[in-house]
Amino acid sequence: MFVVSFYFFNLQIYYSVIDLSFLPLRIKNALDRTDTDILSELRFRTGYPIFGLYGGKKNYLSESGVTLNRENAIVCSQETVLETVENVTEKSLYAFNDKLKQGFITSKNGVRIGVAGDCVFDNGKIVTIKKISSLNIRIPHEIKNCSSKIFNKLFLKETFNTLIVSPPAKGKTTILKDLARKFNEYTDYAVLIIDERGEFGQISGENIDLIRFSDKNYALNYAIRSMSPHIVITDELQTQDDWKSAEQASAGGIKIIASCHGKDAEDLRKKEYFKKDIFERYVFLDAEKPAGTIREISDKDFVSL
Amino acid sequence: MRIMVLAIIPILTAILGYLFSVKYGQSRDFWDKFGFWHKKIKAEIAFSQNSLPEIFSESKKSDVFSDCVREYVIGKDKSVKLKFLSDEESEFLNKYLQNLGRTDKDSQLNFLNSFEPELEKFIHSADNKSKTYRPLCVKLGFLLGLIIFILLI
Repeated sequence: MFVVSFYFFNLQIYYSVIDLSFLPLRIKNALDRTDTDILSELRFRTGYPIFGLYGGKKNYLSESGVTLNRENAIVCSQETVLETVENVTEKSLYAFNDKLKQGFITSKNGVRIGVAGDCVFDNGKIVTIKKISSLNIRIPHEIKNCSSKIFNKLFLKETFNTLIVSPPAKGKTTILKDLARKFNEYTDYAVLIIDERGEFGQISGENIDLIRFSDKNYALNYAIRSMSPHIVITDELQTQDDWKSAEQASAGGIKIIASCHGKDAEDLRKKEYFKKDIFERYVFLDAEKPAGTIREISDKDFVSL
Repeated sequence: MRIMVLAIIPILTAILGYLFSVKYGQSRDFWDKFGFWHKKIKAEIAFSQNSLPEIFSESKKSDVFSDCVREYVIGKDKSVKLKFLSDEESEFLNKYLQNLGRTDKDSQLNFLNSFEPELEKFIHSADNKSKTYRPLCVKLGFLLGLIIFILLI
């Protein structure tokens, strides 16, 4: 199932990478009656109707597909949540606990599921999350060539440390995945992907090394020594350690392409750990338009290019 | 001729005794494999942290223990009942399976450690029963046949 469209004169091919086989049968049956290509998020909250972002808008999920009518929506039960978690973890929660402690689990196919429940602490450190009551299922999509504009503008002749900035669910990871594919296809650079959350699941290529489920700092330290990457691609710089890792990689002559939550340059500057000297180019995605729409590409001084 | 026909009786009863004792062998094999698997899963949880289906996919072996646990973990079976297990053993097995994989790594290791003494007990008990009752059943079967033979001759 895929849709072909022209967008900014680049042929973009949209196709969903949806393997939602971990969902309870009732939900799967309901999703079979919807166009999952434009479904980007599903929210399960115990005791409340299930809804999702369908074409960017809130829609409820009913037995017969998506609906705007709340009354027809399937109400999420505790069993629905538990069955989903059990299926994703393949009855092996111990294998997912490190991720669970960070508030998410990732399915085999890279579907990231945010979880909320009771946090259990021991000696000031989180041990696990129990009594999970809410799930936020982020449905990944592959959009081939969605990074063409960025690639053509920034990486055709040389490479720059580049930061992709947007609010959540605006296509940062999708663009990073496509950029990795383009580097693999059109250059000989050794590309290292540090995939902390397992969201780059489908990516592979002769020039791509993939480190999954490791924090950026550790992965960078060992990979720089052992894998000699030219380019490091990583998602969501958030913590001080993340920014430090990016800085170290950059200082070591490696080009880093990363993403970060934010709205605009001003928003970025306000971030506690933001370091201006690391990135040479910034790509701001439009928060108001459909996911993946580029609002501005700027240089290190935030001057529009 | 009559004696020769009657002489078959002790052999037949010995075979019956053997067939009766098969359950002890099955039980011993089951608990042996359980013990081996228990150690393996502890190592897996402590180090590689592979999921249960991944652990099973590594081993294509088919035996009563592997099949029943595989069915429980991968399939939808909510309880396991095997005819050669006593009620106490079945209860232990189901309690073990119901807790398997459902908590974080440390809790899983604690849980597995807490089950260990009882598991050891069942392994030894099954081994002892197999060593004692299997030959005994065959011997008793043979003796019974011999008595019948003497009475009928």
